Amino acid sequence: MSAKASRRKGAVVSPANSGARGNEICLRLYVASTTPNSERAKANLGVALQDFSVVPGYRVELIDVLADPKRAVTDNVIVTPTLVAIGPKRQLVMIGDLSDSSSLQGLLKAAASFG
Amino acid sequence: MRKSAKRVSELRRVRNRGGAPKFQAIRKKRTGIAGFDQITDGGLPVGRLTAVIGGPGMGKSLFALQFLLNGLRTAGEPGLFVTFEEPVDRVRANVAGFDWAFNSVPENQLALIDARLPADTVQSGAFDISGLLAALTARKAVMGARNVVFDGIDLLISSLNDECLERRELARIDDWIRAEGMTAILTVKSYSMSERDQKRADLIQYLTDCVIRLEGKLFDANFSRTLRVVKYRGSNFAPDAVPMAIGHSGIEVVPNQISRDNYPIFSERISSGVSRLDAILDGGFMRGSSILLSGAPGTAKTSLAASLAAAGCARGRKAAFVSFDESDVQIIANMKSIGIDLRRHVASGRLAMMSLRSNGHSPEECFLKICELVRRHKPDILVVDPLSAFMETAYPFAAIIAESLVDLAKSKGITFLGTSLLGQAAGEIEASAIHVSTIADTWIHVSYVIQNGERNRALTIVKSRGTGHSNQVRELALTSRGIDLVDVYVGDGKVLLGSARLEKQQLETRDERLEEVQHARRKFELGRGIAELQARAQAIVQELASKRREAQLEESAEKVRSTARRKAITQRGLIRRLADDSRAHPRPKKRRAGQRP
Repeated sequence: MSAKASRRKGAVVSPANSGARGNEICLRLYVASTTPNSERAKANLGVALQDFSVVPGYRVELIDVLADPKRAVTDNVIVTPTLVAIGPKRQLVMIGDLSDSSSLQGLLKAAASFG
Repeated sequence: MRKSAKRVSELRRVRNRGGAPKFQAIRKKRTGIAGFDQITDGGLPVGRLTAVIGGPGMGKSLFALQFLLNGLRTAGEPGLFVTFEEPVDRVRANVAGFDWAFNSVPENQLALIDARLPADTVQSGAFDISGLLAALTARKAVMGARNVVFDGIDLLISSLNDECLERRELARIDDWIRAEGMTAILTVKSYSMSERDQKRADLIQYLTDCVIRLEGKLFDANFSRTLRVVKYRGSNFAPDAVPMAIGHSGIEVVPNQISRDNYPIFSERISSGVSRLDAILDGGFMRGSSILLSGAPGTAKTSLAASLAAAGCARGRKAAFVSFDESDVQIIANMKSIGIDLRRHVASGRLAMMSLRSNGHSPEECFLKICELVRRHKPDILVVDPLSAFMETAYPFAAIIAESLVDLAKSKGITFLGTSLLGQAAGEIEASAIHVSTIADTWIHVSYVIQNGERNRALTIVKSRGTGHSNQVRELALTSRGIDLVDVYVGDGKVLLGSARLEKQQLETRDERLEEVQHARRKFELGRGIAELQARAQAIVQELASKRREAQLEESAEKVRSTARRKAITQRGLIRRLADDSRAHPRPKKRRAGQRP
């Protein structure tokens, strides 16, 4: 239940081997079950990822902290939704329902870049 | 998924139940801050949300940590401390200076949880703190935590930037603690006075069951901290701001509630160490009473105080001597010069001395230090020299603290002596000591009397509740052998002290001697006179007796004479008649035979 659908590549990533691989970025989205904020965040992230020009390759890990509270402890999740984008050079964090699409896109681009 | 749905419905159920008018008396949990537990009649509400509001540096986090630590140490309840502002190691560093041994507390008993967002976190839209609460639920399940602190929660929720959303998150916390049966503290900053912050503060006050405000204010250059319970649903509480101090043991609150009525009562007398003073006090000070010793500088207040302490120690009792702005060493040396050996009692452990600085310490801080000393040493006699060190500051609670100090001593049956620096003017005495005088059972005033170019100390007992005492002024004499009281000379409407008294004393002695000699002489002369008169009287009595004898003899001689005379007359008459008869009638012969010679 903890890892969920990823788009385009169709790969399901388990929490154990998460992390960036090659030019891929790993996107972890921490949500609180189906609360409105979390539902919106899932939808907004999905929309952003549909634009192939933003991120060339990625894996999405969806973590429901209500179902897996231990994960919330180990990953130190404070708020939901939280998106952690782990790129080859840096790790970026965004909180909120990701409703600001331009800042979400900016974050994803920055995470994927090698510079 | 099912599990979380169940939880949500559980939340709702709890929330609804909260709204139902099901009456249940509030339960409380002690914070371990004694004064606070006293004013709230038991501490914080169990299973409820308490807000601690205050500016930076007011001790909000400290209050919360003390609560958690007390819960752990006294009730064995593990706690969670969620910090939104400071990193965990800084929280640890902040409390390392207190005598809590905080670093020895295992992480699984008191968990410090860093809930700061990464520095470069970008916010995009609304969020909630379900993630945090889920993590806390997991930790709680492992640790069995009962208490939780959200330290600086305003920092996180303020980034929601929407009143409704903020309210929703606060309500979420409230729901969570009720569902989990946790007792919680939210600490909230109150320095920023923008409209938003004000609204948030109001909102938090409205949402929580108990609101505590920590404030600080400058009086001249003196900083005074206060704690105030703003609201407490379902409980009585003292709504006044009470003085608070942050000392070696963390926050301490001085409740300005004077118990007054349940003091232990003793009939035993405590020697002042000055036998003449004991005598005019009808046997000494009452045990467990409070004594105020007032006077101008240098009127031997400290000496009298030390004398009481030393006398107590000499009888095997314990005494505590608290001095302001004078070191222990200095006092011991000074007292030695007038024959009071304090060092011996310090060495034997009976006398505890503590030196405090009145400058830069609030009265409440000093008070708490004295409380600590009393707890540790358990004295029978407590001396505070001078007590006026409290009163003469600009701190707003000075008078209350002084009263609290007397109250502390009396409630524990400790004989309390406080000295008070006062000027000469009577008005000044009344004004400064008015508070303490109302609770001091015995008030002794030592003043200077200037006479004939001399300054002498005159001691009077202004009042002494429940004991007979002299109303006379006594001269207080300090000698290398100790303190003594000397009767003063009252005459011509004047009180004579010092050398004037001595002079008068010598004069009187001389006069008395002279008088004695004269008396002896007069007595001797009178004796002699009496003896003389007695001798004369005896002579007269003898003369009188001989005269009487003479008179008797005279009388008996006269009797003889008169008898003889009568006889003679009778005979003569007889003869004459015979002669006449014989001339007229010649005498018959036979009658001549009866003739007498």
